[in-house]
Amino acid sequence: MNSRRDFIKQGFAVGAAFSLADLSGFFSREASAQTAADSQLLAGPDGKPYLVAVRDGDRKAMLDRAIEALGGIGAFVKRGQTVVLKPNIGWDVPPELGANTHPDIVGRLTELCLAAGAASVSVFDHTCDNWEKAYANSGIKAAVEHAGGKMIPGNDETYYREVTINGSDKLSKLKVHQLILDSDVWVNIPVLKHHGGATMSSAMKNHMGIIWDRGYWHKNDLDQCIADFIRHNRAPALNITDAYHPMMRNGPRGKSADDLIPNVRTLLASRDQVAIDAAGAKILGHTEDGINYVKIAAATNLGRCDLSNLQIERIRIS
Amino acid sequence: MKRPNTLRHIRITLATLVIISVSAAFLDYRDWLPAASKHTLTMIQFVPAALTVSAAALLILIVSALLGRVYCSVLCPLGILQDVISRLANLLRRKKLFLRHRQPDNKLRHAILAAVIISVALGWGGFTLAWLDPYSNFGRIAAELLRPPVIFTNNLLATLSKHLGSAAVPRVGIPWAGLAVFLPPLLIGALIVTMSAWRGRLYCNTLCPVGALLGLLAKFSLFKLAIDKSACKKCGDCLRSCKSQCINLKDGGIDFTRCVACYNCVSVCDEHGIKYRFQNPLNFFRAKKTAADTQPNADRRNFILATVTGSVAAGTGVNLSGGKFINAVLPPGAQSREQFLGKCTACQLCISACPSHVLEPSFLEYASLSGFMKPRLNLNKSFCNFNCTVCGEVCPDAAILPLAEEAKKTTRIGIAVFDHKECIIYRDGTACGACAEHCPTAALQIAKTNLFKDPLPVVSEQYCIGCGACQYACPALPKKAILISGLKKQETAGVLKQEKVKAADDEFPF
Repeated sequence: MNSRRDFIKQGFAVGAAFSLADLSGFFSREASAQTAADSQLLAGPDGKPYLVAVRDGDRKAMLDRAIEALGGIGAFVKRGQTVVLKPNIGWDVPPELGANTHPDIVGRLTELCLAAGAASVSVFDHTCDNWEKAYANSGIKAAVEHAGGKMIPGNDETYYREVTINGSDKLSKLKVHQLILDSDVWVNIPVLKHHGGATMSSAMKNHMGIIWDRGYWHKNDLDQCIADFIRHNRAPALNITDAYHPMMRNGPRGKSADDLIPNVRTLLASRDQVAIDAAGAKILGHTEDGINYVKIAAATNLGRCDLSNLQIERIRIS
Repeated sequence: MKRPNTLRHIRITLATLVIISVSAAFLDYRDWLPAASKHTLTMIQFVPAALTVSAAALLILIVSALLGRVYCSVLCPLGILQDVISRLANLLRRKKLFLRHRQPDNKLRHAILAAVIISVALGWGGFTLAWLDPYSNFGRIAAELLRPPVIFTNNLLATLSKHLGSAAVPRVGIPWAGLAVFLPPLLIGALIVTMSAWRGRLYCNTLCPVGALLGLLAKFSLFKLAIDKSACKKCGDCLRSCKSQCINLKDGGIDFTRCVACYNCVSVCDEHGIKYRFQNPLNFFRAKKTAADTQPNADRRNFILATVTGSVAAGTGVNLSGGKFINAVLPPGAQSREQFLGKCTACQLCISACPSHVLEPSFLEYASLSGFMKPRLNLNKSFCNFNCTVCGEVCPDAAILPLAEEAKKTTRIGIAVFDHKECIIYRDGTACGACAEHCPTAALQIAKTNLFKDPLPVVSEQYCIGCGACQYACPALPKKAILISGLKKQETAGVLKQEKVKAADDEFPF
């Protein structure tokens, strides 16, 4: 059993390596062989993998590999576009506590977007703790500004504009941060964590940091609201989940580094926020539809949580 | 011929620096200044220094006993503010105001001083000083009256910068205090403006207990400003320049107990007739004896008046609540309601410096007149940031003791009390967990209980520090399902110990 699993994995790894090396022209037979094997599986809209999972590298290297596997940053960011990155910066805690997205990932992605010719890269979160302290203590402010991006506040209602969500169960009108509405591209960069209220916090839950009135969601069926929000017509172009050391308990704030699974060292990337959360759920030991809002969202057919039917590229660095 | 007056220039330079920096400490709405600097700027004020028995208080007393009330002109922000107001008022006048010599209001100022001293001795200084400390009065004027318009201006700039497509100026919430708390600084501010615009330093020589105390020391100063009678031509220039109305040209004397050492008279005297001169303090006692024989005993009258006032003040501080809990939540490091209300002078520095804006001036939440205008946590508005220790770092009165970050994290200021009947999870049967989401100590967990089919918030009291993040986050309305009960006496909370989370398989789990 192990050997078969290993064989398949090696196959993927080899395939991945070839596709990354951009030598597909020379190895067309191998490349097409892989395509044939995956033909039953759903690929992304551009024929690239539906979901990419990278393991065991440093965060920047894993991000680079994941983006490459999805066709490079140019597939998401065109020259002259304005980009907004939405990491989780909810808490006034340092990076090693795993409550916020790691600054290395946000900083590196800022660099990549600017290198792709982005007109500007803005970063914000509607934080839970004091926003200036959270921006600073998370290390994200320093990383983003070093890379040439801008930190934008999310602490005041005047930054938010009303939008309408069509066809949703609980959400009709709500206020969304203007950067999300006005930027050409937005990238969702959550960190994977246990969550006392919603069981798990990752890509879909991270949307609670782009809206103004979170209390409304908590009051009106949190899981349903999280799921409903995937109907918002400004969906992220890409979701990148920081699962380097996911928080296993006491989330989403966390109490100490003891709350983190030490050796996951994974980064996930997908255009589909439902699929990336299904994968996150598996990492935290749930079933792929074990998180209520993931299950509700998948039932709308706006996202997938049936991982076995999706084309997943698994990359192991080192 | 006017010679450059060094003393006056030094006074003006120092006073300008002091009022700018102390104002900055109160108006700093983005936490740009380090907390330690705010503490240093304010702990050298006389009342905070005296309450904490610091060397600064001794130094101020020594300087007063040497040179008179230098403190009142150089260090006291309320005094400097009055100079600014008188000066502005004179700029608006066509003809400069001419203040004649005025008899001292000794009964009044000594009665106030005695009342304050007695009340402090009785442990009710927290009430009297909160109203009469000049530094704290300045703090309230800065924090309640000047800060909101400053932030409002910032927000206008923010709107402007937003229209220009820049996010360089972030908006800041404007901390309007309730009307009841807003009124005292407004009324006292109006009083100060009126008195200083028309009568210079009259406030400092009638109502201010610090002015009265330092005035008593100035009476015995080794060096006093005095008029050289042989040089004096009685031109009245010094009189015109005196804001304390303490120069009497008829007998050629300066009432040094009211002089605030501004040195204006020194600089205007063309004859250089006003200078510091050594005075043998023993002379005073010799002269006093003869005067006392012919006058009614003012000291005894003052003492009786002061005792009455002091007792009234003390009576207003009666503790009205019992038990372990109180309605107000004290800032971490305040130790206990009694010690806190006894020491805090309601200067509002902690309220201005609190990065979470959770501190607010109280009205009657402490169930004591001593608690009026003093900080408490408004946990519906915000919550106490877990790793923040700013209020204790800035407090110049040691009413809130500075806590090390680790000590702060286990300082219990209240306890979360959960009412499942109001909880969204129980009421609506849907997920929420906003409270658990915010809990920094993991004292609050969503766990299975026998109250309901789904897991509900459960508070392990031994780990709860009462920071109020849960109360703030609770979306239940009209009544929140989780509320902090303030502790009368702060405690040390336990720390939840958990095993390290185990490593996972080194495989992709999907």
